[in-house]
Amino acid sequence: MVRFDTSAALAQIASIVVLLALWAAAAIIVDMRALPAPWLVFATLGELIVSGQAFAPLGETLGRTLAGFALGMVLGTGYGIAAALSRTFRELTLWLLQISIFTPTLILIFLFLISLGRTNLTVIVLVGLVVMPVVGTYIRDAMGDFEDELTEMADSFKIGLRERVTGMYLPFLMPPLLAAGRVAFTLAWKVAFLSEIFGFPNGIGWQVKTGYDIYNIQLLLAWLMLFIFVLLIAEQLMRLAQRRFVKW
Amino acid sequence: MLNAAPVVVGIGLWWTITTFVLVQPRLFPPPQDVLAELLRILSNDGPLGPTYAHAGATLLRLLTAWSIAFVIGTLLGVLAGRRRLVFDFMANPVWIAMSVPSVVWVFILLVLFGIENIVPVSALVLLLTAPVFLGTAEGVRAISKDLLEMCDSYHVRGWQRLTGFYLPSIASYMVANARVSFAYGIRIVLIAEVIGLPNGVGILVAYWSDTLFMAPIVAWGILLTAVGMAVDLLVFGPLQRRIRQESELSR
Amino acid sequence: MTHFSPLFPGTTALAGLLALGASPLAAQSVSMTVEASAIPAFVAADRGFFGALEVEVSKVGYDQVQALLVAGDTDIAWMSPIETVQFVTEGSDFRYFSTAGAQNMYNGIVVRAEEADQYPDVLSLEGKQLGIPGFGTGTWASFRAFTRAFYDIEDPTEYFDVVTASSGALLALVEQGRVDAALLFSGSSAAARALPEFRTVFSFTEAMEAATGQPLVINGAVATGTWLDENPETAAAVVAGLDEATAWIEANPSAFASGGEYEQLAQDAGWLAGPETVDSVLSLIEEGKWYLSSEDYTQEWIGAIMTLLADGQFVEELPEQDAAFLAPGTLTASE
Repeated sequence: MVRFDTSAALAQIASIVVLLALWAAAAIIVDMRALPAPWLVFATLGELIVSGQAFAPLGETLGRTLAGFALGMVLGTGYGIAAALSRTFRELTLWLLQISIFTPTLILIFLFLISLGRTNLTVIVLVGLVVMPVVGTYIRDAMGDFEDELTEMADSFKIGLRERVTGMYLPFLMPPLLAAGRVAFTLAWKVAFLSEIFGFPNGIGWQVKTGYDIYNIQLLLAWLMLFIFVLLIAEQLMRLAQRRFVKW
Repeated sequence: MLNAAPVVVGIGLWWTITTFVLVQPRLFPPPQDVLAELLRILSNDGPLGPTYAHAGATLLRLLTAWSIAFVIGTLLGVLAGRRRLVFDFMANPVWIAMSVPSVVWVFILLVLFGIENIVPVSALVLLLTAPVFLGTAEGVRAISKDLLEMCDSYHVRGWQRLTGFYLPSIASYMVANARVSFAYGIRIVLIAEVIGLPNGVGILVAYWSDTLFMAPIVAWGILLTAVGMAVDLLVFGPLQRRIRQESELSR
Repeated sequence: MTHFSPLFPGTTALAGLLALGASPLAAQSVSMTVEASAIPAFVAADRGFFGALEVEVSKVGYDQVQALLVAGDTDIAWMSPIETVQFVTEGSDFRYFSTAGAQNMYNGIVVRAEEADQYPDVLSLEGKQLGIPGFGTGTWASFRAFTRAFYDIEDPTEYFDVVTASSGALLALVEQGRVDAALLFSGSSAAARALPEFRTVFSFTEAMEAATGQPLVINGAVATGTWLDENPETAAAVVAGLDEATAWIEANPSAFASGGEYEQLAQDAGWLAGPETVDSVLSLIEEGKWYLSSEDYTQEWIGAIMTLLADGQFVEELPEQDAAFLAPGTLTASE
């Protein structure tokens, strides 16, 4: 049951049009290699897509993002549930969680790429680790709000652990999971992209970096647009899913 | 005690691995090397001049950007929380600002402004405004209809309405926003600095990465993490508790 | 065009942890880690110039090549001879062993084309804003040695008004007039050479030629001393393959123009930044000036570099020549 909201859609489109117009105006005023006009960039993007060159890097980045995202969601959910149920576990991991929340991403990227080597697995683990605390705190807090009444209910009905998880926690956790998922996916995509910019030698981020090194801004922006498009589509899909589930 | 146990175990593991398995102190520095670098940083000694100057520059940028982002994000958020159309209009730009990595913003802004402080600051503002905006809009939407109607009936408008009504009603959201965006800022400020600036921790980290010494990089990471955690624990934590208590009392 | 594996699947630190104590690989296959400018390595692998030897060429970013060699994750790394000396000084067991396929260090300082008359050389930039790609980079370390050895500039940070920005951003800053000149990495330099907005007023190799009669390269084959001692035949085969590839490239520069077989390689290396002016790079290739071969790896060449580094006070104590450079002729003799 998703109602189509015309004015909302119009407002959303209007803002994109305004942004594009600003960009075009700026490009015409500045008139330099450093700031190519939007139509040139989109022409380059079109070429990348038509010639098929776009798909390999896109797939590489997307694959690592999704794998890392999945890892982060699983770890984060596990952490959230464990932390909400066990006080000892929460205490044990408090500092570790704080550390993982505040460590600068750039330093994590440098460390991981150098000490674990430049493999897909490195990036996936890195993405997972950055995503985990975000999802973890989300789930932990959501669980915390309802934990007492849920446990009481479960205790009084003598429900087994397995049923508790599948029958109670999961359905109850669906809305916070989706909300956390939206934030986490953007984060995952960005971390994957950043690792490519700072040293992982393929994917969209690497293409952007190459365009940058050889001062081909048109190419750089074309790849960036591809990055934004994919993220927009993913975001819209998740918004849709969220509306569906939350309504239910 | 429980809090510290896993951290201590982690450091022990780190020491064991770097001492017995991966013996390559340049790339896999053992804890004592990192500690030495930490002391060197604290004694204000570094390859590119005094370290305090670099740290100061980075923190100043972070604070400036964070304050600006907080003000802009809150104001826009109140507007968007009130009017659905404003929210829909802002949704995509905010979302693009948030999803494009800071390093790309820096590059674009560098072209516009040259090597100036405004470049990393605006890149950070772009990224930090978004969570504040979303949080505020959510908070404003959560204000009950009755209160709004009461405001209307007393003809409270404009600035007075903002400072006297909206902001107090969403105080707990504001503290949460400040907390989240500060934590986010301290994580990404370095990325905004590596590309083009005369000073800052980002430049130092890039220097050590270029010369391939990992110990100082880890040391800076520990320092920044510690600063972030300290601010969170000593400033935002108590503030949030107080606001929560007050709002419970007033209920 | 075949796909070069850009990933590095070799021993990672993690795998190293598990496979601790495993015997060294018999050198039937060899891993070689390069950055985008190492076109001869890609061509040699693609066209089978390495013969029976299986060479896995992986492409990574410029600064990561060294990290992989330090970590022992690659057999051969594509690195600058000057930086090799720096690493040896700092205790690494690295040896530069051939100039086969190495690229002349045409990178250097660019200015805006319309100001080329005003700033014809390095000395004319006194007091002007010079953008550099970072104080930790090999390019800056080399430049410092050059200014001391050849221009009597004791401290370039005082002679010029130095600002740092990453190499790609520097071109934008020069074009806009935000800085007067910029010292660049090789990819950006190749791009600058191919773009009409810029003029190169100083290049390392040309300055070196003028002062010593020897060229200077930005890269070349480097391995650890231990590996070279154990695998001289393998190293010789790699050098031979690189030489063959270099000869092929010089005979077929059109393969790197727009629409050519290796267009993508040229694109990644920055040559195709401006299609209309890509000729400047291609003609240098055709004249045999862009790449060196193993024949250029001579005692005189090494001597010129060591003298430059000594005069330029590159490091406090320069290592012995044999500690940083494999003696010329060693590889061919052992074959």
